[in-house]
Amino acid sequence: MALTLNGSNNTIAGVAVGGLPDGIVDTDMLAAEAVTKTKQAPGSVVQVAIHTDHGEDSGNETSWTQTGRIDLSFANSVTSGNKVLLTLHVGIGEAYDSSWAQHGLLTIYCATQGNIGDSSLGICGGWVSGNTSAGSDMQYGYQRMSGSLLYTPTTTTPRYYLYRKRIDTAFVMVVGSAKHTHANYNSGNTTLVAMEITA
Amino acid sequence: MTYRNWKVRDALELLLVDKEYSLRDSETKDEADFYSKFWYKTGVNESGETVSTNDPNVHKVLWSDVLVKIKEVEAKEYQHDRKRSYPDMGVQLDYIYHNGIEKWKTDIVDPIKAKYPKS
Repeated sequence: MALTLNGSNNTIAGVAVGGLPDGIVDTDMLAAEAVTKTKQAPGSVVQVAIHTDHGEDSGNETSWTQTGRIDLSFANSVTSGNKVLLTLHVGIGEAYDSSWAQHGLLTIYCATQGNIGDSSLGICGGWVSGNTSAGSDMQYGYQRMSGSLLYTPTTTTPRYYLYRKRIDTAFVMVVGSAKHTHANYNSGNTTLVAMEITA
Repeated sequence: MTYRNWKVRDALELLLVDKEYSLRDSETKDEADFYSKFWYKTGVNESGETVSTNDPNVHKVLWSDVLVKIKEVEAKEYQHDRKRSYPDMGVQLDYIYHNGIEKWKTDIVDPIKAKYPKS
């Protein structure tokens, strides 16, 4: 294609890829927000959302149960085909009192897609460890844990919630605090971070 | 009167053995507040999600019964205070080795028992 200078609309057509010298197009020459989501390289972060909650939830259900502690959405719609990276940071307390250890699991539910994590194991889990194994002191303990997940949403407007469950028998687990705080020692800081990543 | 939810949780454990439930937030103020924060599991839906209700006409868990159990929990609160106050077991054994059982009782155990008497 021949190079064409059009004086009536001030355009140049036919410039080949690499046809401009290095450095001729700098940042100032780009219009503000000219690099849209669809023009970003794969693996680029398009947008980030975060929800931190300082409240407390507890229960002993052995099925996935809404904690009511996290409700997170993106400010803008997710581009179809892009991925979302979810990272959960949460602290749990345990109710064991001179009993065998039990396991607590956490996952993220999407309002339209259901459980995003593993159907059985969620995205993280564990129990409060201590120097007296599964003794009565467990009820004063508090264990911080985290998990991450990369997936492709089936909706452009995902909305995320935190769910928990017990894996075996029904002992109460606490989200956001030790079980037996015995005072105002709520630890809070239950946090979910969501990042939209270009595919 | 406002109750810390660790007390309400302990009361529910006494009241609802082998039942499954949630208790939201860190405090419970009164009957109405309890019925807004207490959710009783009634089943599981097709996606494995807990189905529960906070309607007292369905779950039949009465705040008055919870209050009775809270009183039982509070009557044993001294046990938690004592447990949290005793030194590490190794420290106590070392004290016994160097000072004997009687000094261990008078110097370590008795002051804590006196500070947190049985209610």
